[in-house]
Amino acid sequence: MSVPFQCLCRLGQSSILCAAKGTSIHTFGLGAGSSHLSSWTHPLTKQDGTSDPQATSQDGNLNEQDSEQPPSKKRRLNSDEKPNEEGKANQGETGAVEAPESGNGKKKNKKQKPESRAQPSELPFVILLRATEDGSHLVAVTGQDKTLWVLEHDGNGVLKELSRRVMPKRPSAISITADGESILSADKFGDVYALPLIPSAAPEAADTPPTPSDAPATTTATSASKPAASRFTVHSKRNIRALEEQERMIASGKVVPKENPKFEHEPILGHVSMLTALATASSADGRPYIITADRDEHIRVSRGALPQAHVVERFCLGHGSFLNALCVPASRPEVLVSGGGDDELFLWDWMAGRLVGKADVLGRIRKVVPDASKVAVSHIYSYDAEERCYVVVICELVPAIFIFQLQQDTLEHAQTLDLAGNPLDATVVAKTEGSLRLAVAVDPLQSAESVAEAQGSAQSLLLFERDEAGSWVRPEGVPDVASEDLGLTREELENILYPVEKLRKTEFEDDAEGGGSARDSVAP
Amino acid sequence: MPGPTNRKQKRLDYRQAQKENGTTNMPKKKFYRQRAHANPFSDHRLTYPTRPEDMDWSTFFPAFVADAQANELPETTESTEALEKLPPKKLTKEVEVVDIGCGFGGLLVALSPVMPDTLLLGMEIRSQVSEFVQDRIKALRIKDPEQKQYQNIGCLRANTMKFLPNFFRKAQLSKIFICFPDPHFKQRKHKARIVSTTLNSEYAYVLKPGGIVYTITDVEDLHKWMVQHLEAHPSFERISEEEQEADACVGVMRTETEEGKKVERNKGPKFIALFRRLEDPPW
Ligand SMILES: C[S@@+](CC[C@H](N)C(=O)[O-])C[C@H]1O[C@@H](n2cnc3c(N)ncnc32)[C@H](O)[C@@H]1O
Repeated sequence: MSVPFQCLCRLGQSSILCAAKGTSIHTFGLGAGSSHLSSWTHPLTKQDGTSDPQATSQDGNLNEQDSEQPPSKKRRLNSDEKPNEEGKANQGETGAVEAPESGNGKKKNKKQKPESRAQPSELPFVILLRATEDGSHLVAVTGQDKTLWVLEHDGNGVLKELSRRVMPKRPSAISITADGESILSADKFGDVYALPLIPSAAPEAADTPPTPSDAPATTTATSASKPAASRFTVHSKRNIRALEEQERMIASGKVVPKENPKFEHEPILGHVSMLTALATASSADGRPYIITADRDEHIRVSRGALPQAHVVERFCLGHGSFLNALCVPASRPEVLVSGGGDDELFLWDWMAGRLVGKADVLGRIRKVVPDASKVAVSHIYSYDAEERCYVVVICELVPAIFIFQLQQDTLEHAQTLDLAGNPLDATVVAKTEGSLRLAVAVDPLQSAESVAEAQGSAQSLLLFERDEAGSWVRPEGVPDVASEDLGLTREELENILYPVEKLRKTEFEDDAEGGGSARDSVAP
Repeated sequence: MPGPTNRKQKRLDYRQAQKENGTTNMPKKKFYRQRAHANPFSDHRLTYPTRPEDMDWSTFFPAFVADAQANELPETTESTEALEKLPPKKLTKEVEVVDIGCGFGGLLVALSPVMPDTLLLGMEIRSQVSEFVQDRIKALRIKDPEQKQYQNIGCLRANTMKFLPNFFRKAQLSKIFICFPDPHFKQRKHKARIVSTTLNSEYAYVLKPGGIVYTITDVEDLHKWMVQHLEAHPSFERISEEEQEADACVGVMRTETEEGKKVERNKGPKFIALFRRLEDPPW
């Protein structure tokens, strides 16, 4: 079945939009009308099925980049592409079928353990896109194979693959530092790594195959081939049991020496939790900070100069459910907007760690989905128009986009933009001088039943214009590009496209313990 | 032979009685059994404050509750959130010493008279074990005819690897004890260790400059690991052996924890290392 666009990103200040669809990234010129410029496809799912890293991932249709061509005349790219039967089988080559994060498939797996369930059908979808400030480079993450790609942008929409780095764990949020030199990558294991945007020259490092292990890349004091203790050094029963277990593992050959990625990737900070969002920001006096958010309700503010990133300056505490999105508006850098599983967005003075206010989201959702009972914020973005700062909010499985205006200390609801399907991502792109367009990636299919009728007709990439009152109006569909048939069922696709609600805690280890606690509260 | 449900019922009855009667009988460990490990990465049914200022410490340290008037003063810098509900009762002092993974509480009980004017808190992830310590403290308090002793120690159930910043504000603590932590030999589980680069940054956050992390273990490789990771962390420096041995807490730590006593009986070695929280570099 065909897949929708799921991930959007603007290239610098240009009117070029990057849109990921399944395992491919497409660029569109939105200057006049909208035209497809070029595309990149994950080597695994490319038509020839090769995963040869040396092979250029540029698809051959560069002569298509005629941005003057009216949309109506656009031909479908790759229309000769056949469904790729090898796509799935080839996944074995990248080895790691990354265990999806906790919560994934909670209902099926009684015992919920973070990162414990492999999902063979998952394809290397592009899950994150970030461009450098100047639009010269694009960083993309494909989730299933934990890979971070850097693509060079020639300024005209043509992307060239520069590097491919397989991270120790699946990246869950990325950011590019203000100087444009480093990528910050936060993962599901709680670690944040800094990597040079352009990998330091070490050719073999550019394509390290993933190791079958899930070892964190941090240094370890002990080697894997020998137990970390001896009978002599272990005395208590619990320690002896742990040691015996390790000896058994080694004897059975289950302990394989860990291989860390060979490219430069420095762990700079971490949480003992799943990281879900990452933002960089500067204080009024120009000092850089890194803001990280996790599934255990924490927002942490760390120093952003890398040698000092271990210094935790403060926490912004107040959320009662998981976090999933952070936004520091460029024009209001003293403000942080955060959201996740709570019914409201939170507004922070992040330099003081102070909660300034909240903005109701559940009430807004109920006007679209009357029986909604919870919120799962998937994205928060900001844009400026006519000296005003706006915040765009997308909630998982809610067919609308919420626009708030950021006032001095509050978020005032400005518009609910109803959509025919669930928005998966959005970004604001400059059209011509001054005028803005809101690009929205929509999943046109609401349920498996409607697949047949909706087939073909549905628009997945929409562009809205701003009217005089500042509302987004007159959606116009961007002609779809043909995509590889990834051989996914609708259920499998939804599993990939809708990961946020799964972050909510619904099962607890204690329930399995059967401890029969005499009291529930923490107090004596 | 009693069936499992029978045994469980007995345990619940005993615990209920222990809770209600305020008995001076010391709690018996056998009624607080729980499997040896709790996974620190899992979700537990934990109770923790959203923010340190939301924590109600009054039930843990009733002898240190500030008088009512002090409690009525509204905070000026509070967020809108706190204004909506009544702030918790204030104590005359804050918790300053924490025993991470306190087990059955031997260290707390032994340190209580050594630091009578300081509030000490044990944090333990296993609910049964933390309840044992709470009942133990209750019994010890009642036993004292003057009701003065053991008022400065408390214990709560918490996963310190995730929620330390929910309980303590920046630079609140002066000492953190990490005694005989679980070794987690398997490399795959090294992130589960209670000392790691990641966690050291959080210990540095809750510790005031000059504050001390105390570590002791019988597993030499774990000792090396803790030393390596804390020494390598820019926020900490190792304390000299001379200063270490002059510290009154070290002697207590060496002999008074339950795990330490076991090692003693088995004539095992004990490796100790102390680390001082340094000032953050200029910024
Ligand atoms: C080997 S025992 C040592 C107990 C005590 N310190 C002693 O020396 O007797 C380690 C203890 O740490 C607790 N623990 C492990 N991880 C923890 C965590 N993340 N938060 C709180 N306690 C933890 C375990 O439940 C266990 O009781």
